[in-house]
Amino acid sequence: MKYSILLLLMALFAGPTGAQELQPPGQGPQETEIPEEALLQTWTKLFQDAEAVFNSENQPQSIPLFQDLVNRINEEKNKRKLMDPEQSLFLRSLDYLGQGFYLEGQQDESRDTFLRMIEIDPNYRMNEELVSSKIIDFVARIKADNLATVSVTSVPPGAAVKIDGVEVGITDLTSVYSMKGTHEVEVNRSGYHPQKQTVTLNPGKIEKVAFVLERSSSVAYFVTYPKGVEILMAGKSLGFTGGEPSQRSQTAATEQNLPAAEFSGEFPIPDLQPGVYEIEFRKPCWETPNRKITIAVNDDYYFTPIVLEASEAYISITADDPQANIFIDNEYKGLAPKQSLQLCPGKHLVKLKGPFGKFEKQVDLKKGQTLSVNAKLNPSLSFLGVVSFSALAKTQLERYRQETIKQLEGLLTLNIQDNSKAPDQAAIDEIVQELAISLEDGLPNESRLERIQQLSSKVESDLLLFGLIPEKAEERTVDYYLLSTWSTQADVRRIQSGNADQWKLFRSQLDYEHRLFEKRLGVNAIDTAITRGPVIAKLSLKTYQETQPLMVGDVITAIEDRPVKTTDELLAAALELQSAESVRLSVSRSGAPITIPVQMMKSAMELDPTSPSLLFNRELASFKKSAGLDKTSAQERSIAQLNIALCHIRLKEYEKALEQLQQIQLQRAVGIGQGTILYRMAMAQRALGRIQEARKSLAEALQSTQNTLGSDDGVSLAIEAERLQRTLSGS
Amino acid sequence: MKQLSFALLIFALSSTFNVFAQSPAKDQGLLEQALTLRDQGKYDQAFDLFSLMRMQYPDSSLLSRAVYDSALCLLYDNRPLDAAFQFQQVISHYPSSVEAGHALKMNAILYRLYLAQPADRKVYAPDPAFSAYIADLDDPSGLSIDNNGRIYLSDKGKKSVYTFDASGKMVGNTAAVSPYSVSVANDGRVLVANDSTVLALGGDHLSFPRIDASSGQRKGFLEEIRSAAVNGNGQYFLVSNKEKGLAVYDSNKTPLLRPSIGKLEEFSKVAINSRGQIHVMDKRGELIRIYGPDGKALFTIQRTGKELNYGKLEDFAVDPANHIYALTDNPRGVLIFSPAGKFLKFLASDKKGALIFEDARVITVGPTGSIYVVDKDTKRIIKLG
Repeated sequence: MKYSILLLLMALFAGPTGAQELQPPGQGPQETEIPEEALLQTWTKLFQDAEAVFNSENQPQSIPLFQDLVNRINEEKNKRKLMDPEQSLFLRSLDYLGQGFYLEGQQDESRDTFLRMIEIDPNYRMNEELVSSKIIDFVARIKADNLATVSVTSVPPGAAVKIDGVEVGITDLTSVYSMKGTHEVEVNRSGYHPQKQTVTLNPGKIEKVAFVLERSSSVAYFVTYPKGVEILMAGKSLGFTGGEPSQRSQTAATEQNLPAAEFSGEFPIPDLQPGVYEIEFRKPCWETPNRKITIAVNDDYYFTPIVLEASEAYISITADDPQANIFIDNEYKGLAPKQSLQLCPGKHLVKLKGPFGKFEKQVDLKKGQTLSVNAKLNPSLSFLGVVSFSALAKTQLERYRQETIKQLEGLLTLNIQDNSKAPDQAAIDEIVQELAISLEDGLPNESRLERIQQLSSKVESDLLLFGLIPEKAEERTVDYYLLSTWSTQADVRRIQSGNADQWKLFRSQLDYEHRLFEKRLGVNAIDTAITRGPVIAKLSLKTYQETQPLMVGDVITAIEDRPVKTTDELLAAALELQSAESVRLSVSRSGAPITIPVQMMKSAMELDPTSPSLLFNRELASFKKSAGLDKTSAQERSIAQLNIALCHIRLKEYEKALEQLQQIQLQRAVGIGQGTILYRMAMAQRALGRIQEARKSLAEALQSTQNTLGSDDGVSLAIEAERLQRTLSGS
Repeated sequence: MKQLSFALLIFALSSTFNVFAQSPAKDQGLLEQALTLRDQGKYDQAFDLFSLMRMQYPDSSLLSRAVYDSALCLLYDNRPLDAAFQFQQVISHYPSSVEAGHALKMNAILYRLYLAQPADRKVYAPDPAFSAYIADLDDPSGLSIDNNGRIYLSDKGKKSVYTFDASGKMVGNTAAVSPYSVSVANDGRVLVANDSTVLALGGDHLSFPRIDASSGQRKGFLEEIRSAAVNGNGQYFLVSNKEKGLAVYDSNKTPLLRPSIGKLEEFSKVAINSRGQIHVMDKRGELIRIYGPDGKALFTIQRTGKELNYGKLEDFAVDPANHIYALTDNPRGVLIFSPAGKFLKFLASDKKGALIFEDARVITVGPTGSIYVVDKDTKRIIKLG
């Protein structure tokens, strides 16, 4: 008896405990409990208390406790149908109460209580191991005086049986206890008309009730492999297959050599009138066949088991950032790289997020395909909107905003985030306006950096862009400010609304990522007004064979048969040929065409801090990423830091530049090397007015006679350092 | 409160905010400061200021000029290769600027003189697309070219000044009393030394007062003017067959005393280069003297007896990069010197060489370094390169 109650209580408590685990933090259990559960908890507590008293020396005192509990439950029972645990608690309480009365010698009260118990569930069985045999006999006598037995059969069997509206089983039922008197027996089976019969039962007698069912419609039965297949008819979901495999399932499993346990039980589709039906079977990652069925006459139809075919695809993901987290359809999949992640065929959204950027791509996987995604994590650029300090119409600002969004679509190296319609746009606008004013002096300002970082954190983006309508400018122009979380200064570009060329240029500048290393042709060329192509003015690296040399004065006309007319075209073409082992340069030498094979050489690259076409905040994002990646080599990190410093120099943040440069050790005897670093330090020191330090840096730089500026085939460091030395001496 | 602060914000912005014209006076000031240093010959410091300007005012509209002028610094500092790379920066960074066009021309000159292989005859080969024939050419006395490639030829014998377009087609013929030479001033005027006056082609005849050498007083007007040039300040530099030295006048034709410029020498031609340096050739065709804009003697081009040996200098010209081209009769050809007077190369007019003229008296150099000579024998202007 105690054991069964314990199990009951465990069952009762399982619900609320489980619910608590799912609750969000900070919410108490009562906030999510429904009233029935609260009642059940209360009743269970009352039951436990009463039961403890019943099992103590004060057993009689349990009677009022159980009476109170029975009354409470009965009151609720009059309002609604009790749930199974409540019904069970009710019966147990009546059980104890009846025993209590009996043990106190109150046999009439005891009989009434047990009779009530039997009325509620004629099939209720008391625990004969724990309850005294006298009471068991007492209850048996009550049952004999009040209960009859009824058997219900149907042709065909399998119909649900209800007595007085209470389900009691499926035909054929051989013996069901019921109270004496008149009752209504009802049978119901899919595809058949329901039937009812009224019977009068006499105590101790067996009453037989038989039904012959008449067909009303058809039922189609399906089993599926695997389970959990959604079945739809006319686009409407009928439910999911499940349950224990049927006999047909077992047979199909054996025939098709598939695991029987993964077959479903019978899934009935009832109430089908003669006709043709199209049934759909859906399960993600499984081929989803359709089945057309024909119902000729009303009957039960057992259709061939539906065996779905697994439909899988795979995706392998690598990233240039080992700290990149992979999300597929917004579900976290772990850190990159990941090999052969199994997915369903179809469209998926692949996202990678790392500390220096994001990657997002929509992929469409075909069945059986293994797709490789090599993710290059790009920085995010948050567009904050267009603001104006003049009385410009909102519609005009909106037009500029929309134009900006449209023009920024399709950037290749940045993830554009549109924050121009954020819920807290007013607050963002205010910060933007403050920044615009603050930036006007063109000087670094650390408190401004705090504001930028605050904004950056708010929109979760390292790069910020906003437009400002200039006060004094031609009509329909917008100044675009590009900020980054690493600098106090902005890159500014003025764009005339609708000017496609200006937008194209701006987009290309936003997309441009300065390389830390490039394969170089080893020649320095110039354009002239009289040559068909760039002229080699200097041979900086020996990229050619002695037997087929390049020469100063050669006019380059093509690279890999691609004609070039200018130095910029030559450099652009060389950039596109970075993967080539060697290239052919077509040159004109003293008017004669010659082709020279050239082995391009990898060169460290400095960005040009005077370049009018670079967006330095944009480049900072790339360099910060390169410097921060785990896989970056010491040399790569140094070159990245050097370029970060050059960005800061351009942005007049000389202390920041020095901070970077002082960390670098770049022992390269030729090309970009430690001499280059020292020269750049001298530039920053000089800008800070530390002339003595600058001189010292230059003197040290001049010890690296073969170092260069710009690139390994760039300007001689010695010449520039000496020039700067002379200038400093002059100043 | 919020409205008030926003109003203050607007006021602050409207009164001070200007993104691109960041202190326009400052970038202009820095440019002028750098130009002054350059004119003073302080090339390192000037270059440094130009570089500073690029860093300080990245959005300045003056940057194309600053980079171009910084390239000139290198050129003037006798670093033609570095200058070529700097001109390239103008071409790459400011491709649509006026300076980019100039830079391309400058690099063309530097390519011809410093980069092209010595054996490359194409660099100064006769241009087949250029054809300028003067049927009644008599006594060619001067040749000059303007920035647009328009060529002016004075013929003392025919008393004419012919004008040709860039292809060599004659497009004008102006009569003159005695056109001894023709030159193009910085302001575009074409000046013809016309004996007692200087004729501004299409304009006035200019007369210049003569200063008596002994008394220092004005006495009539300068006569037998053989050559005239104008510098960037509008000052006139005249060579007279009747006076020694060089006569210098301000833009109002008021005589200026320039005692240091060849006071005791007799000159036949004067030319001013882009730096305002004064070039004069002596009457006997033996030497060319170069003076600074202030009249200070810089160097002289003359026979050395060794590598530099010639019979007589017929004429000379200066290119936009200030190289000096001297036309010689024996050996026949063109001597080319750096702006500092260093001999660079000799283009011989012989069967082995690239030149094909027999009797050339006058020379000029085009914007891209093409050499133009007038060959009396064939009655043609020959464009070389």
